[in-house]
Amino acid sequence: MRASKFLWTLVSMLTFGFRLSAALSNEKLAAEMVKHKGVIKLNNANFEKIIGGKRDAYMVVLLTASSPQIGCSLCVELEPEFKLIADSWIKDHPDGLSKDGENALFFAKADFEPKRNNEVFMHFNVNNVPRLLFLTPGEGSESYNQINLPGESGSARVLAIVQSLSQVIGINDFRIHEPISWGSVLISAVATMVVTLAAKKYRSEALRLVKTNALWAVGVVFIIILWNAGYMFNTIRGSQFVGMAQDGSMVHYFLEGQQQNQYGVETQIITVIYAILAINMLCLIKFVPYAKKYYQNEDNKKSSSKASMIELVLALTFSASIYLVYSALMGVFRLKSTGYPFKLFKLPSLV
Amino acid sequence: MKEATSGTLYWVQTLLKIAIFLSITGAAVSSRLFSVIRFESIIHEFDPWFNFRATKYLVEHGFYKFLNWFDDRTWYPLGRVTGGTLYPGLMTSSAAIWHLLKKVGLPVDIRNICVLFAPAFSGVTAYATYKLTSEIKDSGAGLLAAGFIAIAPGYISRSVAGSYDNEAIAITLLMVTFMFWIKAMKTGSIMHSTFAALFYFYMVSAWGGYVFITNLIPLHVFVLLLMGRYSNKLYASYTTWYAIGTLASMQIPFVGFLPIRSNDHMAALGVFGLIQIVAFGSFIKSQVSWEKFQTVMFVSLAFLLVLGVSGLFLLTYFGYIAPWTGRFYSLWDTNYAKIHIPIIASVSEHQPTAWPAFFFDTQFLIWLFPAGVFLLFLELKDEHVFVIAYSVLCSYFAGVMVRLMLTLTPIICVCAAVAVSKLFDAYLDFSFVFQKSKNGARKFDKDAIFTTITRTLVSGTFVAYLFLFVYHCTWVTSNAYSSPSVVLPSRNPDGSPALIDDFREAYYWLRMNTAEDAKVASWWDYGYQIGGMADRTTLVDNNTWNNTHIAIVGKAMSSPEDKAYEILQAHDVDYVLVIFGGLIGFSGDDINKFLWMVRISEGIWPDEIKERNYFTPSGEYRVDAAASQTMKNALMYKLSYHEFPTLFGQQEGIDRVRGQTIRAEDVGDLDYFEEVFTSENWIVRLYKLKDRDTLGRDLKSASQFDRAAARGTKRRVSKRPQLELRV
Repeated sequence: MRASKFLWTLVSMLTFGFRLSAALSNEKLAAEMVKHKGVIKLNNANFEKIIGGKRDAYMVVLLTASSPQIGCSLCVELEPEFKLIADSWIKDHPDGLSKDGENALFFAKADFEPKRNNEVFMHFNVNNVPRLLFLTPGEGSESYNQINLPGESGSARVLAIVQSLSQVIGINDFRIHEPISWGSVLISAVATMVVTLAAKKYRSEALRLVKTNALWAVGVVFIIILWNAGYMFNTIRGSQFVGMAQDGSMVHYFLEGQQQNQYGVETQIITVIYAILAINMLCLIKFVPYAKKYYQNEDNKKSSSKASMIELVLALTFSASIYLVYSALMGVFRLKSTGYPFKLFKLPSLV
Repeated sequence: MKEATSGTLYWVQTLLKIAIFLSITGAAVSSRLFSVIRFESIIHEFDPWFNFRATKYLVEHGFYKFLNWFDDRTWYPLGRVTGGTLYPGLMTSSAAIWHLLKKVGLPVDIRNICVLFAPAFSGVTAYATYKLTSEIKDSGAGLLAAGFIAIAPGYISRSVAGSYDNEAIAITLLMVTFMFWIKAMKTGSIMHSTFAALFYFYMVSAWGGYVFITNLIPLHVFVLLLMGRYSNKLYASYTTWYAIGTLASMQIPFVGFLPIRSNDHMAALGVFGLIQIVAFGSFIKSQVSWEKFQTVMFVSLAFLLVLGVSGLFLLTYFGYIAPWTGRFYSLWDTNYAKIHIPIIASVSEHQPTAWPAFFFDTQFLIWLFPAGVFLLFLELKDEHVFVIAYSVLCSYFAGVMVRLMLTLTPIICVCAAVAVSKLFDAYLDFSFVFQKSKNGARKFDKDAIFTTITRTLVSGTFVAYLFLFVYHCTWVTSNAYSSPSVVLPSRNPDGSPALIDDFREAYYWLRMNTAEDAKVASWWDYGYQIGGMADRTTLVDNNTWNNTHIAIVGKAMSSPEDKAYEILQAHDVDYVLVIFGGLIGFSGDDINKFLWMVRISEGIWPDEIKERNYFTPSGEYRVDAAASQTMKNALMYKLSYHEFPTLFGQQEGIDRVRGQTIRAEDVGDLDYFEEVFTSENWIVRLYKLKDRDTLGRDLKSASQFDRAAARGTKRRVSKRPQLELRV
């Protein structure tokens, strides 16, 4: 590996003077990079100049289509990851050269737009996106390798791509710089400070707040509902938030027919449903008797039929609301579990 | 529910309760019998086969031999110290039942005891849940909770007839232990806490999940201490439970010194220390002034906390205390298993739970559950704190791992029962109808009519929901949880039901046609079944105690034929068993599990096995012509598809699981292995390792020579039997 690298550098130095094609030198590519503020954007006009010919540099080219009309969810997912990879490299290597100066690496990208860059896609014979291509130096843009996209998303994929790039090129100074979002750091710092100060100033009130049962109850119940609605599934699997129809015409909120899988938004919908049901249940148990007693005490001189009337109306409302939301829950579950035979409510006109 | 203490009413209530319990037990047992009625009295799945084999060993050889059992028929050539690495609770329980029945003159086959073990214990679980919920609210809620737990699919999933697994007994013991703990903590009774400790011991002997109790009870005590609810009752019950429970649990060989050496158990020890300090503090408090006491308390608490935490770190650092075990650790850091222990991540039970699974397993209890927790918060007695801590902890665990749904289900039943019973307390009370007003006349005015309507309506809808719940549970049990997975249900082309019995067919073939000491290599999933049904020696099994050994089998399966032959020869293997579902459409086959074999062996030999080599250039996992060369050369591929295309009469066959076309030239010929058996639907395929060539050639050239010679001779014409394929 080492020897062949050396040999290759030697050969490239020898042939440097005798370049025939009009390939860009590393300096010019670096200038391009500065012009595009990082990732070089390819279009019909510039792509032959930039990637064509026998360059001295490695290039990683992402062919993608991130616009929502096309509906390529993987492309959208890949967008920030590719930017993180490119930015991390450029941050440490502003001229695109590795630390020992032997290897150069540049990043380029074409985000599909019919008029502007369709020729790039035609050049690489691409008929599905996203594609991550790897171009080795000394060869034209006709020979390229494809980099496999690992199945996991997020930082695991970034790490895998960077590792395989480092291995293939033979560099050991490719580090990932996770961008620190100063905004959230600032917000949490300020929030902590405010909370601490407030707690210190209103000590007794804060202590009382901590000791409030209702607050704990709401918090605990909320977190239980969230966990029972599949929140951990989303965090572990990093589920997609919503789905998109093949032609991008319509948004899917439920991953139909799949009991072992879900979209992120499903957790939110189910959390709301469970919460409404639980609240109605609590109202039936605690609020309705309370209201009845209140009215009974208020006019115990007259007959207590008003109190009973109010009890009836309230109980009816909460029961009806439980019935409706529970039917909705059963309906939603029928979407997920094909062949589930039970339902509470039938929409004659729609189904 | 108001309880009478004497008189006729008391007897009526008691009779009713007994009747209700009999019907609950009846419902619990009968809804678990679907599989016995549909198939036969058979042990299910994988782990139960090991438990069954161990139980048979126990019954045959006695208790002491069982504890010293060294099993040389698994994990060849290492063997397994089975007696010291299993939880004996399950086997000893069923052996005890077997002996008892024999004593009273009812000799029952040990297999039937094992099959019907879980349904029988579900009745006990219902009773323990009743008692526990009675302590939380009242006996009305208790009866509801017992009814819920009896038929909730979340619990049935692990306790149908035939699923003879540790969990079947563990949930019962969990509920009994908690019931005694709540009683002990409420009364301060040493007897009750001793019972809690004894059942804790039983639980430790039965299931690795006992760590849950070891942490939940201290958590309960800790929260109570934080809330300032220390009492002498709490002190008496916790110290008794901890002392007896810990000493008793150390008697189990597999557990040994873990309770004082592993981090999983440190919380219990820490709380034990803390409660001594708090007890001492409360003693001081009664002796000195408040200001002095505050200073003393603050200084000593800070000092002890620093000492305790740094001591824990130091002891862990120097290796006196084992750090968290992998399985336990992967609960908190959810990415840990995926990166470090692929063998844990590969088990489908260890996947996170999507929301439909919660609803599927508990139906409407899942939304009554938060309402019940909230209602408990409004009262917040000491025992309610326990239920709340349990709910929060288990909701998290169940979200992270599907299998822990099992421990969440009981508490869902308890909380939901509290909610429903509170609702019925308020709305099922029609006694006002019979009340007489002051002047002696029947009071039946507008008021009463409105109230009657309200109460009928509300309780009516909930009774309807309860009915729906019963239907749901029966449907789920019958459709999802009653398949033995050893025998698969299927349909003939004309729609009549049929059984796919390939597994037992193949295991029986192995048992009857191979040498008694033959070694069979297969993926670890089938180790217990081969041991239990075929009685042959295996290389790896579902115990998964040795990752490297599993990786060896994985490496053999993912290597080319010649390399695989070397590896398997070195391990004395005679037969290789693969599961192939491509003909019948059985999706849980080895080709679908193959990537895990690659991954696990890549973890040990990253230079030789690389996962990406098994994908097509565009990163897909394919088995047709587009598959990568490494994939086509892998032993698993060759053994799975050997002669598969010719079955279809031409050069191509269609894999029904993956919907891809298999070409004969991709599969190639087998040089080092020969097919000895393939089951009716091709699900199980057995191969024998060829002996070394007698002329000293390597097997590849020998086989090539044989094939070339065979091509020269005229083919014998034989009529093939008509093959009819099932869907």
